[in-house]
Amino acid sequence: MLFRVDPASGIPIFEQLAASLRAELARGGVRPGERLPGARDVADALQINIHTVLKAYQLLRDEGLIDLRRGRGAVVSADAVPAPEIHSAVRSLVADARRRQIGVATLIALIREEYSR
Amino acid sequence: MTRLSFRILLVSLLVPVVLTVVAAAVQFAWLPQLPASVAVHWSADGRPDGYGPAWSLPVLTLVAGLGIAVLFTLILAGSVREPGPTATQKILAVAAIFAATDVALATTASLAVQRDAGAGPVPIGAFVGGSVVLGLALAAGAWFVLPRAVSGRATPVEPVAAVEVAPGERVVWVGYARFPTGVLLALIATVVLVTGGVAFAIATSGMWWLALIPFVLLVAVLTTTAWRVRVDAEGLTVRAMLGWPAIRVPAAEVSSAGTTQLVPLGEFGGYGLRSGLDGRLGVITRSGTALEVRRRDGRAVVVTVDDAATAAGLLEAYASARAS
Repeated sequence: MLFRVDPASGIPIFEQLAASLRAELARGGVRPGERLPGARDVADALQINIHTVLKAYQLLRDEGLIDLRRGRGAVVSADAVPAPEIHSAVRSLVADARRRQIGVATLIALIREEYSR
Repeated sequence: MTRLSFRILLVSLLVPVVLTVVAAAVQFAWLPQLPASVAVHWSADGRPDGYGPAWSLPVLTLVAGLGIAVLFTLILAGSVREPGPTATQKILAVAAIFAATDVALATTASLAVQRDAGAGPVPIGAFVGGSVVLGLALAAGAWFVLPRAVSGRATPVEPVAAVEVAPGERVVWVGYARFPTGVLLALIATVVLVTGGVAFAIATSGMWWLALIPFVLLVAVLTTTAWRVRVDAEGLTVRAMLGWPAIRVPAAEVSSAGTTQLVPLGEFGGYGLRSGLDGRLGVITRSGTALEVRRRDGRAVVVTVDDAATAAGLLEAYASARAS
């Protein structure tokens, strides 16, 4: 499964990692009942601290997307239903925004506004 | 299951079955001339060291010979696809003839010498050697009866779209190639059983070198059943859980990456770290979709991971970044 972080973005790495995990769940890159990669393997690959990865996993556990079990690692919970429709809707939304030269900050601001209604 | 062609069935099933039945029939016919108890096992210098009732040899011949034929035929039926057998499958088919010939000849010869002489020393080396040579000759003949081998590849490589990587962004893909849990449990159970059997054998016979057997099995299980797979800016890394063996393909050496549908027995002759007859290096833990990476020098690496398309897409992205 895919992990993205941008060390220069100013957003804490664990939050970026959590966002990247949510995106993977939505995309269906990992499905309910499957195991997430081991925190050590992810940390090694991204060259970040293992505690940063664990913090991201804990964030997702608090959101109910994954279960953390001793000995079994992080397992995608049954109710973390992947939503490919949302993913494809976002993809077309971003493509549309790009065509109209609307930047990512503006688009996210619009989405926030829609949520706070 | 695919319907096997007549020529494959002839080699893997019909000839072994006929050989076995003829050998067993001859042995049954000899029973009245044999003592009730015959030698069934010999030490390396030809002295009998194991005895059994005379009827046990023809029964053994029948069970082993038919078992071999049915086993190899079932493996082939589960793996042969259109348009025909791969070189690996041809080897499996002729192996059935080889093994069945060996069993039939060795058991028949060992009974033949006991008909009059009783259980004295026998040239057991000559029997085994002779049946191996005859078995090889029959297997070689069978090779040419079979259709010409097709290339091992079952399906072409599906290209994938490159994953987008923004400047400054660190993107990695982490996955695993693991034997299915059931297979893994069966393997572990086998290692445990063998270890128990070997411990008993050492306790009763004092042959301590037998301890090497479970050790070798354990190393084989640890080095082939589970692999970490990583794609990052450096390229592809596939590493067994112990860290060894490992396969690396640097991003600069990647010419293309994609997915393919794999038939392990047909294309690689089995599971684990494998070299396909078409030159591909494989880390094979299951059938189905796999990542296939072609190097600039033409060699290819195949790894059975889930979400292989994403791994291939990221590798494509890093490979083209290195190329430009």
